[in-house]
Amino acid sequence: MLRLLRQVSFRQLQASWGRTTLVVGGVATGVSLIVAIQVINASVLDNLRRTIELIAGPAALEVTLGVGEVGFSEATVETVRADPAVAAAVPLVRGTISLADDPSETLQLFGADLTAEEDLERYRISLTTDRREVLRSMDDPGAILLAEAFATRHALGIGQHLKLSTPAGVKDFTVRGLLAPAGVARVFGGQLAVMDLPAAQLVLGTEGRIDQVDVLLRPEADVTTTQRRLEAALPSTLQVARPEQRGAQYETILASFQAMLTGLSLLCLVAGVYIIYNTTSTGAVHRALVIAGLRVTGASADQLFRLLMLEALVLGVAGTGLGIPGGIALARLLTGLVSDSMGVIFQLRFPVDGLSIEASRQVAIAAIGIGAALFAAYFAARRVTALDPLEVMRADLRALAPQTGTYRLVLAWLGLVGVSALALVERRSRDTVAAPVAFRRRGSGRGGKPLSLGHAYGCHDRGGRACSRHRNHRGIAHREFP
Amino acid sequence: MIELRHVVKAFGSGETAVRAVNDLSFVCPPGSFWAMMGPSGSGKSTVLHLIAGLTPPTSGSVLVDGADVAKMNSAEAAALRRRRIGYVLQTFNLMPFLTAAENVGMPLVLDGVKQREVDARVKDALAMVNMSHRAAHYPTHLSGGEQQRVAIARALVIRPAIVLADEPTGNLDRAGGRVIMDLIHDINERTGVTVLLVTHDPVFAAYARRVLRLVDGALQQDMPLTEESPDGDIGIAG
Ligand SMILES: Nc1ncnc2c1ncn2[C@@H]1O[C@H](COP(=O)(O)OP(=O)(O)OP(=O)(O)O)[C@@H](O)[C@H]1O
Ligand SMILES: [Mg+2]
Repeated sequence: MLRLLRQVSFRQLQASWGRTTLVVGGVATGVSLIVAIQVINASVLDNLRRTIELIAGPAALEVTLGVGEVGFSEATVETVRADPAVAAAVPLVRGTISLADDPSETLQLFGADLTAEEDLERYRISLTTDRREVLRSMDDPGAILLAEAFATRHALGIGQHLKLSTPAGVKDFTVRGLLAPAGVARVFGGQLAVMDLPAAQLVLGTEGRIDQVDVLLRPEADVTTTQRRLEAALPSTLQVARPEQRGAQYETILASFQAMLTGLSLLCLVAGVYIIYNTTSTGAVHRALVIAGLRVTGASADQLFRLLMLEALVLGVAGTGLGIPGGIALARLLTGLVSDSMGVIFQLRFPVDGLSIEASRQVAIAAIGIGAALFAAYFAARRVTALDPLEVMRADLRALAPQTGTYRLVLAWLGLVGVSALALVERRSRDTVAAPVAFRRRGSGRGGKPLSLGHAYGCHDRGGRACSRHRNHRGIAHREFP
Repeated sequence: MIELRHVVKAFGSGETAVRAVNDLSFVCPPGSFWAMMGPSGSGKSTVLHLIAGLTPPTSGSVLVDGADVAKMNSAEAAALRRRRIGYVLQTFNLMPFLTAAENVGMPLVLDGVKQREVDARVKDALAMVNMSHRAAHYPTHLSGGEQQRVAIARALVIRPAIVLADEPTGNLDRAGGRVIMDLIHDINERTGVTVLLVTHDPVFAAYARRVLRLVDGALQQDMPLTEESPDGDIGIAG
């Protein structure tokens, strides 16, 4: 059989290389798109998860507000601390502030207890300035730490002053330290400011109120039991959740994104299968005379059927072999784009440090590609080997083969690939617009639990203060203060 | 040994039905060299197809070495063609993408014969038709006569019991035809293979020891040309 493959199949494949290219290319295109989409999804999700872990820090549980956006009482911290399993409870406030003279330059303001040095460690707030010096100067209510990138962009150095518009009005601040582009600062793409908790509360107009309590448990404590106990001890408006649950919520949002992309890649594969079917069947009809000749020479129909299937296997493997690295290369190109647009959607910039390539997934995709090639070849091979060799030799071959020219097929294939690519790009940009609406809807569907960090960190209406809020088309929240 | 017993082969049905072979019977003993003549459409090719198991008879039986070809399944018929019957067609039916040697070796490759043996037998077969010097050439680089000699080598490489040749000289000029006929004659003499030849040309039919004339699928005339038939007993059965 291998000799036949070498002598009969390979020679013919070589002779009609255009057709061969088309078949291999069809499989390769379908497979590479599926691989690319799968790798992009996996990579983006993995990095998102890592980012969420980074933000959550070592907290085992988070206490957040279930309904409404007004923050909750600081006294909650004491209730949490009173639980025997709790090692530490860290209150946090968050809000959005902007440069007084350029309202489009927003900063995520993060208020934490900075006098507790371990909080800095915990939240991976890395300073480029000397730590002790910074901590000493933080008593000043106007002291602020800025992400290095932001400070550089606005030519701000240590000790320099800046005006920021805050919910409490335009205020003066002094830069006391710079945040290295790592950890949380990196997550927000440099749009981050950190203040001491009381000062931040003052600036945000939420004295005595906080947005979140991060709960650290003792090593022997059981998370679920403690979660239940805290839920019972705290007012029912507060939610106690594991940080990774937030990741799960992201995944729900991503799932639709992912389903759409997977659908598209399957479409490409279907197109690939169609092309393979078409080329193998026209190719087979083309070769009907050869096959008839072999039958007269003593080949059995079964033998030739097996030969054609083996040939399809070889072509499928070749296409898959090209498609998988091609898909990975495509993923390398596109992952940045996708994570950027996700960053816009979720107000959460996260670097994609590496591609997540799962061998088992790739094997499964390879199986799909090869299976598709075999599936497509099956019918054509059945048909052509079932032909009566005498009929074939009598008949006018052109009447037997309703020919679609190779070039037209190549064009059709390129067209399909082009349309799919366009659809991809188009859908992606539309998705970018549609997503904030989607997560808002979902958010309210779940009783107001904030679904995105952008939402949770960004836009809280504090203390009933009048504040109009709208989102621009990319989902970035702006606040305007009268 | 080829035996046809009241063979009928009809194509189509009803009013348009054609009896390509109409109640034909004969016994062709081993080592014979017979020619079949007759006007176009008289069923000569169909008789060869029936013997090679390429198409089943409508009624009657076709026996090759005592086995009923009509009762064989397609795989058995393929094996018969691969191992027992060398078929030479009017159109040469060589694979254009294979060299002369590869074309000749194809029935052996299909039969799973080891490559070393294939090579040896191909060499012998090409030598028999004086084509050794063209072994590595592709059919498109060979003349019509040379292509036909390669096709004959392919029929011989399996060491067949029977060679069926359907107008092997049809595409050749008289001189080229003579070369082929001399070759076939020679091979029949030397190897004792049974040859059943279809031809329109009485000159070439004269190479045979017996000529059957078909008209409308039936035997119209049966002419022994020489007395020196291999076993001296060429009978018309039925
Ligand atoms: N597959 C078929 N379907 C219908 N009719 C057929 C088929 N094969 C052969 N015939 C008919 O059977 C008759 C005999 O055909 P065959 O090819 O055996 O003739 P032939 O003697 O070989 O003619 P030629 O000398 O032209 O080659 C013809 O009338 C032909 O049209
Ligand atoms: Mg004929």
